[in-house]
Amino acid sequence: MLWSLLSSRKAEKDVNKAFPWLVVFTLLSSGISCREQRYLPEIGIVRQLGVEFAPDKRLLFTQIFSRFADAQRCEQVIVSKANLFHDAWDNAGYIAPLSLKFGKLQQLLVSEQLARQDIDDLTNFFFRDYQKPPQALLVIVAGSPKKLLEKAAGLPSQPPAFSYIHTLLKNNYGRYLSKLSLLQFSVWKFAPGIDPIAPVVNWTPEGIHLAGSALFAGGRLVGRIDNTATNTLMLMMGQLKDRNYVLQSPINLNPLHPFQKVAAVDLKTVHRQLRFIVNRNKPLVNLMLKVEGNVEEYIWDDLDQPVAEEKLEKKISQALEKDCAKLLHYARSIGSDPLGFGDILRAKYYQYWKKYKWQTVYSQIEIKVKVDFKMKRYGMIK
Amino acid sequence: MNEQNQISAKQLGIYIIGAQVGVGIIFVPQKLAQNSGHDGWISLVFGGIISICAAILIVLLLQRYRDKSIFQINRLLFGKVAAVAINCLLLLYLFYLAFMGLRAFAEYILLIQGDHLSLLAVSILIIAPTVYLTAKGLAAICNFSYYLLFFLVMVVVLAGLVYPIQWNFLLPVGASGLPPLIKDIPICSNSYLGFELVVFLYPMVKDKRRALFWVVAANLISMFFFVLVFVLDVGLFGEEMLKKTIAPLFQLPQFIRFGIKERMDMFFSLLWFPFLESTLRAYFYACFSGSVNLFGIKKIKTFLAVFTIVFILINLIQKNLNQFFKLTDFINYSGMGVISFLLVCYGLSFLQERLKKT
Repeated sequence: MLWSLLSSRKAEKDVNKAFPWLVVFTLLSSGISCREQRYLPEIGIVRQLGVEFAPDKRLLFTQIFSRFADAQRCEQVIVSKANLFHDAWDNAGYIAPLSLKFGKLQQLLVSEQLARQDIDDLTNFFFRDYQKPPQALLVIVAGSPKKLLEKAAGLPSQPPAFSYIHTLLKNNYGRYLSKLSLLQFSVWKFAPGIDPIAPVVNWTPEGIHLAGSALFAGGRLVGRIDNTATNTLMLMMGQLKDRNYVLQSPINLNPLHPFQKVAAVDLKTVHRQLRFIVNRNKPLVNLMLKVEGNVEEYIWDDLDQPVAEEKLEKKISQALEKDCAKLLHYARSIGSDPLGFGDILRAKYYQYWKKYKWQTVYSQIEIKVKVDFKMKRYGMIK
Repeated sequence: MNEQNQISAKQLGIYIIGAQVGVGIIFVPQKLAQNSGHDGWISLVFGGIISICAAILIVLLLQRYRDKSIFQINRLLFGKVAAVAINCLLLLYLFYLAFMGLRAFAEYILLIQGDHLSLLAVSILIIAPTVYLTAKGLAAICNFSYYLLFFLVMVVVLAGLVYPIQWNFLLPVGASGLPPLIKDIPICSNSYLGFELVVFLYPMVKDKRRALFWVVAANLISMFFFVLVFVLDVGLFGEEMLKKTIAPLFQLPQFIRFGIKERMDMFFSLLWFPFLESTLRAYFYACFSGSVNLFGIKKIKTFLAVFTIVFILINLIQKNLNQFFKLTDFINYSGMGVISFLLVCYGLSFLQERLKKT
């Protein structure tokens, strides 16, 4: 239909008439856009930006940017003290030999000390101007982002620091880390009854190390969990994919056995059922997790036999339940609600939500977790 | 009548959808969230039903005077002198809405692309396709809107499938209570403005029997589109964040991170731009063709050039963005005034008939 419209004589005439207009239009639009064109070697693209407290109560900004002019040194770190992002950007402009662009910022690294204050007002810089990327990921640094970025940039055995940090985090999202963009952080910060979680990294002599997750209450960091607990949290969120779970407690082994870890299972699928009820003014949460996984490592046992299978499944289910209960206890003790129980209460029992303060209710709420692990495959041996 | 300006009832429907959805879809979700919170979609449905009822009555008015536009109907109802004044006011209303359409579009381009761009250059670029299509006639405008609409509905529907929507943000239904929902109905009625354009275009519709069906269908499609975008906005931003966002529609693509092609969100935001122009296009054409008919202008192309230049120059007068946003509130009152006037005309048409019989 479209082709017949375009190929008609009338259409041909119209196109001929429109041609001069098209030329004027193209020249005008390219004239406007050319004003903003920049020569690539004159541009520095900021990839990571670190923020922390400076000793004089100002903020210390560390920017790492990639450059195209010089093949030998393709990255540069600039440190500046300022009160705001925009100040820091200006200050960097006084030092950097290039025009710095923020549009492709990949991670905003915030020190743990700073994140314990409310950082949401800081991040609004990324929302006011459409060209700044609110989809940059928020990462918490246990220690100093400046030190981490400077050390990473000075590692000769590693790829460029901006690529190193980005790839390390990217490879572990969904397994040991929860991805959190600045936009999503603000959404959860403002949403009542649900709190964000962000990945934590720190610097070790071997390089950058993933150190679990930071738990927030509103826009403020209130606690930290390690990588295993992050796995458990993501399992409870129903988001976990291909997690390798190591069962720590032994199953009928010789007590003198030197190894404590007796099974490694690859958790493949998780199906979450969350029931939230308020009975006689008492909220009760029933969290049921149906998990399936493959056995990766175990003792020589007959896993094709129902007894052995059930024994392993029960043990893993109990261990997971214990992990979940421990994590929930910790989250409630610090007042963080990453699973969004408050959001569910608001959606289902709005009158109750309005009547009581959620932070008080959250610490007293009864939460029952039941994990049902099913073995899917046990590999080439029994 | 010139064949280029004759359209089918279906094309009329497409024209109305373009006028309704265009700019309103950016403002409305944030405005609704201020009062009704996440329940704003209920106000949208109510507003949609009210606009459908008003549209039916307006089409019934037109059916009583076959082949006549509102300009001619006014002459029959109010006499020559009063009709001139009323018709000029109607043209002023069309001009005002077209002006708002242009300015809103230009402001959003400046907001997104940076205000180093010149308002004059942006205005010329925005209005150029509209002027070209206006010169080509009503049928060309409708055909263009048709392809655009199909494409953009597909984009929104697909986006709805991809986005990580949190349905809990839309619950509980009715939490805001009745008063805020009622308070928001005028805002919603404002977003459905566009169906009143039928009174200016009715003589150009070939199959008038189906006009009523397509006007109602256009309102229903717009209603669906508004509700869909509102649900997407609340499901992603949440009620509280939505209240603080000026143009949530443009920020929707930012919820998706594109792996290698970073900042693809900017490209997806640009996809909305041709659609935003549809409000300007609809009102600009209605105002232009209305002026030509009313004043009996013969040199159409010269008039179009003068009309466009005046239009762009007026657009440049208002410099302050906050003052411009205040002007948008006036759309509510003027739109309601015009629709109320049309409904009064419908009532008067019966009265006049009775008087004639007696």
